[in-house]
Amino acid sequence: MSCCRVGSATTWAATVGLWLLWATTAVSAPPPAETEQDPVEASTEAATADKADKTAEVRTMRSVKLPAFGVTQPWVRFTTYSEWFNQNYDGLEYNDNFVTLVNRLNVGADSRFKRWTFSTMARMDTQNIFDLGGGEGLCRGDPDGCPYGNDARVERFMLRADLRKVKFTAGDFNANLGRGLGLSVRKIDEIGVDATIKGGRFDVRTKYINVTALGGVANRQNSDFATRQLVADPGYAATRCESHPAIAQDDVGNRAWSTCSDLVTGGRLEAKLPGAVRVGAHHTYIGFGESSSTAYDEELHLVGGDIGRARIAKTWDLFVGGTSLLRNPRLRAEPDLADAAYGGFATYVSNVITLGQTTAVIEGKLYKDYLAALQPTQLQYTEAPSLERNDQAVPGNANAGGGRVRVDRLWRDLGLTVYGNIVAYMFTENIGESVYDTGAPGEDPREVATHPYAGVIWRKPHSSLSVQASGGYRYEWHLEEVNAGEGRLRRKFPHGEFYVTVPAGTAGGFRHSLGLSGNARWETKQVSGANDNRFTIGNVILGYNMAPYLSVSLIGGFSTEERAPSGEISLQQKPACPIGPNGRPINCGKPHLWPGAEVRVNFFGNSFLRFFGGRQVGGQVCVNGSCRTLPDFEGVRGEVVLGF
Amino acid sequence: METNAKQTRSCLAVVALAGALGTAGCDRSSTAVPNGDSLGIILPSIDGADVSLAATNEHEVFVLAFWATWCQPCQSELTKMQGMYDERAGKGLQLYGVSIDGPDTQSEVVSWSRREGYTFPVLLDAETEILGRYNPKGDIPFYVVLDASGNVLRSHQGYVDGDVTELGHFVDELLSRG
Repeated sequence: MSCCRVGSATTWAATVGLWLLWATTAVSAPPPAETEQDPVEASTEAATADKADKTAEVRTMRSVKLPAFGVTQPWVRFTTYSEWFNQNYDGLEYNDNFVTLVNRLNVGADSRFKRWTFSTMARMDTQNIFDLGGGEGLCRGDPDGCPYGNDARVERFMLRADLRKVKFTAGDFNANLGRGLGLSVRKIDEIGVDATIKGGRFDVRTKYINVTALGGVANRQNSDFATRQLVADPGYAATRCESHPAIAQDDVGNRAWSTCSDLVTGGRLEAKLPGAVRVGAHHTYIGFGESSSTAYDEELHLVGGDIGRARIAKTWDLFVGGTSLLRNPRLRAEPDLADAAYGGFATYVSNVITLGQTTAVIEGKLYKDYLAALQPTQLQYTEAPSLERNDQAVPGNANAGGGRVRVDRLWRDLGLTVYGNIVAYMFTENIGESVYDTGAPGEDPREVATHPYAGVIWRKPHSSLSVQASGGYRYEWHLEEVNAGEGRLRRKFPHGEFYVTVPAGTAGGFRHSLGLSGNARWETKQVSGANDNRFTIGNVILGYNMAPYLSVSLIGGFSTEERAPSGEISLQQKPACPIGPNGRPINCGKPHLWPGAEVRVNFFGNSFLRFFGGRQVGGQVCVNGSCRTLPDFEGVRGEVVLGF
Repeated sequence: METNAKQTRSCLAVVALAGALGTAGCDRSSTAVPNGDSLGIILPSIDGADVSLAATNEHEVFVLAFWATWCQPCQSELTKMQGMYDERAGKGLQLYGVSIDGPDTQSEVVSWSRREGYTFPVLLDAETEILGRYNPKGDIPFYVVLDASGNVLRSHQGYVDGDVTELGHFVDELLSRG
């Protein structure tokens, strides 16, 4: 990879072009929607009636009637990020102290005819990197492997014809078959993955059946949101076509159309039976191409079905799904490669029981070798439910079996909800192992995770005062001791969270409120040998809001997972840093205090400015078995979102 | 191969269960897509039906409130939206709670909505197709206001106390024109 994969002049031309386009649109578009000049009344409840006689003018980007396109409404959404990445505390100096300017321009139009709708959308991304020097400089000394660079590309493009019961899509689209077991390609905010399939899709919806057929290549947003590194489209497919100059303009791919990527095709047939019963069957094929470590093209089939029914006896919602995974089935006949042909499966059951204001969710999962891309940090094409909260790292979801029960009780008159939840499952972390293995020597150890937690939600009736609080205890351990004398603990921690919103009345014609939230966990983690690392991680956030224009938050983060660097406040003594070859301590550790502040200003109704300055704790985040480690952040982050 | 045999049995079990439940259905409610002046949005609801957003008259106002069970501000926003809807449902306001929960938390959408007793329809946008149409950035809470022809009149990302009051004023103004 070259550091500047697109010529600076080209990227700057694209960047300036986007700004000019935005400016032209902003000037030509009518002023965006605003309702009234006096946005807040003294009483929330009385406000709606009092406002009825206000003479608000509703204005937005108007629909226009075009001879060939019916009634057409164009739209624009423009986002600009500028970030100063000062330090990410990863121990490397060649990826710190740089500034980025990232533009994302979404434009589209919806044309409505009497019996059908035609929609278009395109998204252009540009990225400029400014090396501020210092340390080893951005990628200095490693220019070929440098993941940072200027870039400009058409990231998304879509044409859709919607004839009510039949819909055709060409370009980028998301997909979810069989509640994520059959296929799931979508934006997952928690881990910063924004992926689509670029190709074609055909949907039919009738009274009795739904049919979906799709095919294309995986398209991941190439500018990574957390690091601003340029990421190639997923899979091994670059080796298939990256050397073709007409297709791959650089190793991130073609700037106009993703081509060197995993091939994804799939289909689903769903029957709607009497009694609101839905029965579906799906098949997905993924062609990964040839990896650097294999001599064959990796491929995958996912075949399965599911059934769901809502409100059985008006109290019970049921979903049962199962999918088989067949990896490289064509290699079974190859004596030397037969080991690469193996199967897996995923079965998932969900029950929701509603008895008045009490609800229960009872779920079960059993997965074996259910991992589409063999590296869990790559784009995963399935989302087998983990049964865990979003804020929990979920190891080994590809080989796991267990269940979860959650019960909620609402007292409506009091605005009070109390809930309790327990999840427990066995898992192994390596493909090819099973939770049913014996754990005998030579087999990978089995692990167990339990996580009970409970909480309350109180929203004061007829008020905006709300309080949420929860706490729990997660415990992971090895069923068999991995190494003699190391014990069976994997990690354990009690944790607590709260989230409070307090209305603060009105003054100066604005509604004011305060927010206070916090979370912390006190973790003990086995690191090596018999040693455990005990540390505390959390955040306390104090926010002030002046609706509808301003929000300010002060963020106080803390983490004692590593030794604090010299010169930083230390909240807990930790082992000394290792000594480097020159006899001096290697620069290690992370700060224990992570202060930051964020300001958001809303304007034009649909647009806002947001600035963050300070430090933000990163860490590993896993969703549905797909994990990534988000880096720590120290610097300044600015964001402008303009919508018309 | 033993594993394959197990997989085959698992699949057969699912199919058998499908047949049994299918024939056991006794509720004759239809999942038909209603006719009308459609806005081109069809999503499954938590009640098992496909819901097509369609206006019955030209003065109706549609509000799509995008949320997820793991989004705490969204929960507060929906509670306020329920109050707004109670006062305007008979005046032409069509409110839809659109969940973008993924497979991990989709079950909780049903339990949350039933327990809270939302009287507006709760739809599932697991592919984030509809959210992406109105908010390509994809962050929530987010609402969009549409007229009876599907034109976007207003959208807003984020929720703080007072935002729904503001929305209520906007909706009142639109409805007063009818």
